[in-house]
Amino acid sequence: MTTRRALVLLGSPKGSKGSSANIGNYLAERLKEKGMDVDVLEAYRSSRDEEGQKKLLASFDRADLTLICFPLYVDTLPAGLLETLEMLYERRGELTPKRRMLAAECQSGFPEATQIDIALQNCRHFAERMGMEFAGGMAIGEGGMLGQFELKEFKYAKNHLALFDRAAECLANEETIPDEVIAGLQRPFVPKWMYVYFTNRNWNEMAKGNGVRGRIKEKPHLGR
Amino acid sequence: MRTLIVDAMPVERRAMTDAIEEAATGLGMQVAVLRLRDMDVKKCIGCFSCWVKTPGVCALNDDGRKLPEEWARADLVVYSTPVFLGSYSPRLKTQLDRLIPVLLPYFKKFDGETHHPQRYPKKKALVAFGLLKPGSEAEAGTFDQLVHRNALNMQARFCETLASDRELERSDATTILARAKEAVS
Repeated sequence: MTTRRALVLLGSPKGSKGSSANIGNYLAERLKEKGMDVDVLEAYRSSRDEEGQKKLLASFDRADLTLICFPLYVDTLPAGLLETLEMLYERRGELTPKRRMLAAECQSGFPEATQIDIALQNCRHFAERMGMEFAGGMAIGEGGMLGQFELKEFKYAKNHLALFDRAAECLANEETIPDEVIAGLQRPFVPKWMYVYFTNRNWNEMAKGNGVRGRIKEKPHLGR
Repeated sequence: MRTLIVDAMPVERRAMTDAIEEAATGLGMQVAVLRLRDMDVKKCIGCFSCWVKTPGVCALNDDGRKLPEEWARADLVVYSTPVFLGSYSPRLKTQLDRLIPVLLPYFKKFDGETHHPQRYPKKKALVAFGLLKPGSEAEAGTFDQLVHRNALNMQARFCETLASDRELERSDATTILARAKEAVS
């Protein structure tokens, strides 16, 4: 039996750091445990030059499953990821015809996972354009928290990790991600009021650390 | 009325932005155009310096700073863009990712959802004209939803989109921009 291959494409400008990398690497490990041969590549780095594009195109071509992990930027995909997907679309004629699946994971700083719906719809359109089967989109609210901790050590993520495990198992078995897994992942890590309170406090503390707490609402472009 | 047109069209499809510009001028608007193809805009690196280090100003010192500057004073913002996957072109998205300096970092509830408050007080109208790739009509609905969600995030007082795989008629642009003008007047 041929080993199935996967490409986990990290779509954040932060590359190997941050929430997308934490989640993407976690899912990559689970796919490996299920016997898949997995490449993890960074979209922003890959689209910079011809060499990076070739490497990404080759990995995408080999992959039976591509899983995109990215942060929500201005209600849709970050620019570098969008550029990478456009490159893959424009070079689709270089791909070997075969069955391919696409899945996506997106996390947002907003508490409501529903704010991610459009970004996942964009991913679905990519699958349609590329002739791929869309295996599901995972939307995570309060996503900024996942960049600050090792996922396994983040106690509030315990349920989410179990759901990621199930999602990876389904994807490795060439199945779509079950609706109950997608619904479960949309549940917040902590109550919304708590997340909002501590996030707002965190911005103030960061500004204070940089000596600009009193200037955080400054309007530099007014009156010009 | 200050109108900012953000032109993300490639030079060979510049007729779409020309039609928008002519329509806006014909309606007596004061028009500024940012031609992204002539600008050097690096991608947002997600550092949040524009919120907690240099409030309101992006850490990257390039042409990407122009949009937030113009944005602060505009009454109407118009996007002219190819549509890709129901989203903006990567060129426009590169610039829009650099727009977060116009927001404050805090979370606030608007209409039952969490959003960022605006850094600048002026409430705007947002209009987007999209050029679809042939055979991608299904993406027009996603594009419309995306632009309306962006409008919600900027607490815009008006939002409308028109996406098609055909050349934009100046008369269609005039009709939509006239509605936007009425909304912000």
